[in-house]
Amino acid sequence: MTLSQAVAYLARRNARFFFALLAYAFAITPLYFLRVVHSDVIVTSAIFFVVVLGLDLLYGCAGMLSFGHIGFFAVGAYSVAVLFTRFAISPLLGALAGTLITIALSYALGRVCLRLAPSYFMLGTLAFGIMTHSAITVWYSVTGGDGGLGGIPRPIIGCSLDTDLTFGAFAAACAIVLFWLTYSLSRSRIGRALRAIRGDAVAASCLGIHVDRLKTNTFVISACYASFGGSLFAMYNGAVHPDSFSLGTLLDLLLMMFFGGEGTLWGGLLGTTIIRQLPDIFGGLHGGQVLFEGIFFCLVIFVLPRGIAGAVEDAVKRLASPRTKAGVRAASNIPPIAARLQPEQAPLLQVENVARNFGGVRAIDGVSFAIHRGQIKGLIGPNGAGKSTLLNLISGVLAPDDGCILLYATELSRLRPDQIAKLGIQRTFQHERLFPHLSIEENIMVGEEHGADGSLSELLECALGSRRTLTAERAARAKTQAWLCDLQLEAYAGATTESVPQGLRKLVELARACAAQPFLLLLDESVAGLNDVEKQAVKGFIKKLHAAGLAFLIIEHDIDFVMELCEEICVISFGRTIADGPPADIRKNDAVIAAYLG
Amino acid sequence: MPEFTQVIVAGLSQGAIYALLGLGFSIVFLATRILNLAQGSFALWGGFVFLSMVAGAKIPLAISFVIMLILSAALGALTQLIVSLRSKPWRPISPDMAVLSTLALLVFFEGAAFMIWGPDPQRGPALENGVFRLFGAIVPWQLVWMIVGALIIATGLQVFLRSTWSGRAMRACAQNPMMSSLLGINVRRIGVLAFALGAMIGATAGILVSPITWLDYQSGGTFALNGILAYLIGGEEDVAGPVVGGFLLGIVQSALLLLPGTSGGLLEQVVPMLALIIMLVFRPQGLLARRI
Repeated sequence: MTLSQAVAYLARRNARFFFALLAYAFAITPLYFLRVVHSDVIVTSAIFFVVVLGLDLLYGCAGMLSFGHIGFFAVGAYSVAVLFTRFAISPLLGALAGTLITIALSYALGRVCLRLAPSYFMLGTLAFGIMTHSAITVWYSVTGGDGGLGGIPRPIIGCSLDTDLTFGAFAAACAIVLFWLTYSLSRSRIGRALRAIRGDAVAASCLGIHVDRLKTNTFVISACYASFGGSLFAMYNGAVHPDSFSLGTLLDLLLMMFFGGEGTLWGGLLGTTIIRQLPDIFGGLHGGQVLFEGIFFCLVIFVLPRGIAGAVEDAVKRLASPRTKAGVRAASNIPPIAARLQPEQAPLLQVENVARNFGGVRAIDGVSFAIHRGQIKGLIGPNGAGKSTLLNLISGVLAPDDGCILLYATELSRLRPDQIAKLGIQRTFQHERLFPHLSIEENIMVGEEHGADGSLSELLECALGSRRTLTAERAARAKTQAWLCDLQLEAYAGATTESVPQGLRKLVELARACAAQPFLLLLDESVAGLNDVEKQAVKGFIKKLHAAGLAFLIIEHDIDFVMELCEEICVISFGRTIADGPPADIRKNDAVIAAYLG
Repeated sequence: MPEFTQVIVAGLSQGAIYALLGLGFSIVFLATRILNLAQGSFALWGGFVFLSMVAGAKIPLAISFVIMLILSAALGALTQLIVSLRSKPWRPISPDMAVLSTLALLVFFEGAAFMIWGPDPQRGPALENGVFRLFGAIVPWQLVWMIVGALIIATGLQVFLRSTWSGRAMRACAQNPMMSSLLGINVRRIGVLAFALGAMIGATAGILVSPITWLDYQSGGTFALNGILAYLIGGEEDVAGPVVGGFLLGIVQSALLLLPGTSGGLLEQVVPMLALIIMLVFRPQGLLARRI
């Protein structure tokens, strides 16, 4: 590959990244030489951009709004300052120490706060931010209290970074590298997994995403951005003061992210520069600035909630002509499943005496049944019989109070949903749960990529964009295309989930589950609300998958549909099995007739 | 002994501040599930407007109070209309957007307060100046007013929520806005009512606490935080929650002063925040509420 080819490839793959940087450089250079924007604004913008990147990775992708980043920002700055003034340790080592402290703190805080509902997550992190601020204000012996600490030198990397130009170049280089890493992370499978969590954490974990670990690790990484930004801030200013880490700064950070455009990453470039420029516009008029920030914040939240960058992206999307797909139909995608199964006679899935209570209600009261290899099993029963609860128990969304669920010899009842998904059980939901922040194609890709482990090494690999992840991504995209063709949905590949009609959404959800290549697929009313044509499409699709060796557990109210498809049917009523056998027997069973007709 | 009682009095005083500020939160959250940070600015503006009327325009206390209640009800209603501009009964505003928009309004109100009343802290007018002695401790009369105020508001809210149609409608809206609207409850109007009530309570709280805390334009954020603390510690489901939670926190915080070697500044900031995190971890539903 020649250099020009490499550049062309990078530009094609990351057009938005390069375009944003170039446009920024072109816009800021004349402003700088016209003395409209001072070097101070540009350098601090680069520093704050690092922090905003972290915030945006956390909120824009994963939907978690942290108010605690102001605390991590302070930790980074004060580590540099304290270690230099007390122990004469070089600022770069200080930044490293700050990052390590931040990792420990954010891990602890993340474990505590990430379990909470969104508004309580904000409060918990806010409490941490305020505590940090009061600690640095009051702890005179170490932090210098409200006098702050001074005399921090700029680091020496090859040459001294004493001038604004050299330090600015250093800060900008750091910011660009981090921008690149964050950008490729957000476009990778991890980015898709995070947006999946933002949309629907339960469905995400049922597709094999280790939600807790991924959220915690993302939080830690995002906190490290804030800490590193703080270290740069301390080096640049040569001094630290508690006022720089107050709630006012937190507000600035939030404004930078939301005004720039959350979820776009490059919006941070605009946000930071414009907000940093504000004091210059207002000069000494502090009061005007306070009021203006209030009005500005309100306008951004109420009028432009997606920010400038979001508005630009929406406009571009609207202007760009809908891509017409070439008429190439990929070959059918359904993989031979039977070949991957253990050739045993034992049942694939065995449910034994499972019970589950909700408060005082015993929703499932000792249900047992088995599903054999490649079998289609129906699960029917009157409303409230506990069918969906049973599905939740098998897929790990709920834990059974009693009994056991075995996949071959593996006990499932103590596993998380993502572990169960990895073992080869996939499900759909009664009310379709697509990820609203992902396109139709990306929804299926989440299944195709088997979710995400959320481990640090996986995050790192995706951020660096290793050859392996890129190849895997291309393969997943191609396979997704094939799934879409199988279901004749290729016209909708890039569409948002909202724009697709209900019936097709159910099909997409089915494809998403199949893309993860399960042995056993649990379907919760997948044809409810569909018209006849769509029903036939689903039926045909299920039959094709069945021919490839996939086993099914189907909950359905449409009795004809169940009778035609299923080889065995289990009937439950009030949490108990009342019949289990081939369709012909079920039709004649007295208990079933009594349960249905009352 | 006088030292001990004085600490208890200080704790009650701080607790009354928490409790008063927390009550406004609970009514808004109960009806709309919005964590209303702008609640702090209701207290801030209530305190400032009252101060201007009493000290500036020399209007008698009682009349100022009534005017202020009307003004703050209008302010609260306006806030609700702005916050839920884009939401529908069947599609309520998302929790993070709600927090952000009330935060934006809080910043706006603080900025406006800065423009009107300037940057310097000011002491609100006390309902009754002077102090009396109780078991050797010096007790300001204002503290009595604060405690009485908190109890009256809490009782009134409890009666309103349990025994009036609007109160029950409010509780229904909190649990299922869509169903409530289908049953003929005007969810928007209930939301406006809750915000107006919350603002009136907030403004009353601002009037009562400002002689002790003083007021400056940044107090709104502090008020909001104090209110949230009381509310979270007390529990969600009950208006008595903020009162119990607030007093408990105030007394614990002051009692820690009795330990040798503690400094007031650190305790004032760190203890409440630590309490908040501990509550969120171990009992996110609050002390009084049942686990659902």
